[in-house]
Amino acid sequence: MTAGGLSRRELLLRPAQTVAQVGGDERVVAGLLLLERVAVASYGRAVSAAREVPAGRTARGLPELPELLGRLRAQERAHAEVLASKLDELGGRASAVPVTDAALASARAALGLRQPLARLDDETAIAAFALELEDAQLTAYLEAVRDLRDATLVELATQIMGAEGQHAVALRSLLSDAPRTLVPDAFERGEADLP
Amino acid sequence: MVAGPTRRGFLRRAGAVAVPALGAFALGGCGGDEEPVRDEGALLGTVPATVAESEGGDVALLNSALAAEHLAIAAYTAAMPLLEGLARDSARRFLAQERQHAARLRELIAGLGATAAEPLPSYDFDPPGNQAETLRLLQHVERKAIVVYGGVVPRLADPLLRATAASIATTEAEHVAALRMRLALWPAPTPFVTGAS
Repeated sequence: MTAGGLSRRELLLRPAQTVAQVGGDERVVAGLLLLERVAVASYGRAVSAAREVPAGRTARGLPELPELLGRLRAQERAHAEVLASKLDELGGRASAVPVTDAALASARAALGLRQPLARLDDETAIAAFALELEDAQLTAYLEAVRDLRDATLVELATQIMGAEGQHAVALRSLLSDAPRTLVPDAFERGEADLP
Repeated sequence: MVAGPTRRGFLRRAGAVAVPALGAFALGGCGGDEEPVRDEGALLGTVPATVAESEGGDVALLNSALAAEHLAIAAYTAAMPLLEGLARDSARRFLAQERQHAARLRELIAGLGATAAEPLPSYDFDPPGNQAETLRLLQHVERKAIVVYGGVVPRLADPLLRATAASIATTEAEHVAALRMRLALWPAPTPFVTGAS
């Protein structure tokens, strides 16, 4: 549950009318930007934690875990930069970037992210931590595609959602390389259970 | 090793033709990786600033997406006998998911009171010589589907149809990622998935 008593799913799947009523595209983009910035900061913690755990078995073609997480973080940063530019064009104002652990934990809680920052002590825990983040983003972008009015923003959200799905595949492969694990659902909504 | 299908055998399974699709997103035959795919990378603003209003428009868009699914179904069906092990397991699963996409699109089109496009009688693919080439061909077909969805999603007038199409497009992106992993490639090569090479 979030600080406001809503589950992440409830928070992210608000009715379209609600989003439109409280700020339209500007509000949607600001929400996505906050989530991307929380993702960048969260991946930063995950990269640091991954350097302290024994190297696991990553799939053929994948780098070691710290490098893998670092690449995903770089892509989240690229998303954040484009969204910040779009928000600026819309005349919106971005939320503060969570820098300290306390600020990050608070921002994560507000977004309904439950995986604790303090327990990234093995590869499976780190994968679950990152997958929760990717699932939250998939859900948020799905909502954004539905609610955005500007078609170029819909196009952008669709492109980023595809990238988050590919991130999820890389992370799921840390848990199993079975096809049903890599792509668990024919309709990606960010709701797949961990294997 | 991959069983060595003859060109005739592969074409018999896959057939021969192109997929009718949406304007600039029309798909040609599905040759090799060298075939140009519309490069949407970093090219935003390729769609109108406002979405279409007519339900008739949504039907045409959904039928474009359905045509891409028919192509993918044909490709996976033809590719299955050429694959082994986890690659074959992946293709089997992804084929089933493409069929789910097609079924859902048909339902949505019927829900709009329109007729869903039928698959073409046949589809033409260059016959792959080995498992890696087969996986690259499937990746190429998936990328083309992503290009189609990239044009379809922003143009759909109905928000719920947009969400469904984006959900499918993301699954196609995940297929690409998984296929790339079977080729020992990094699964997420770009932060903005456009279907471009």
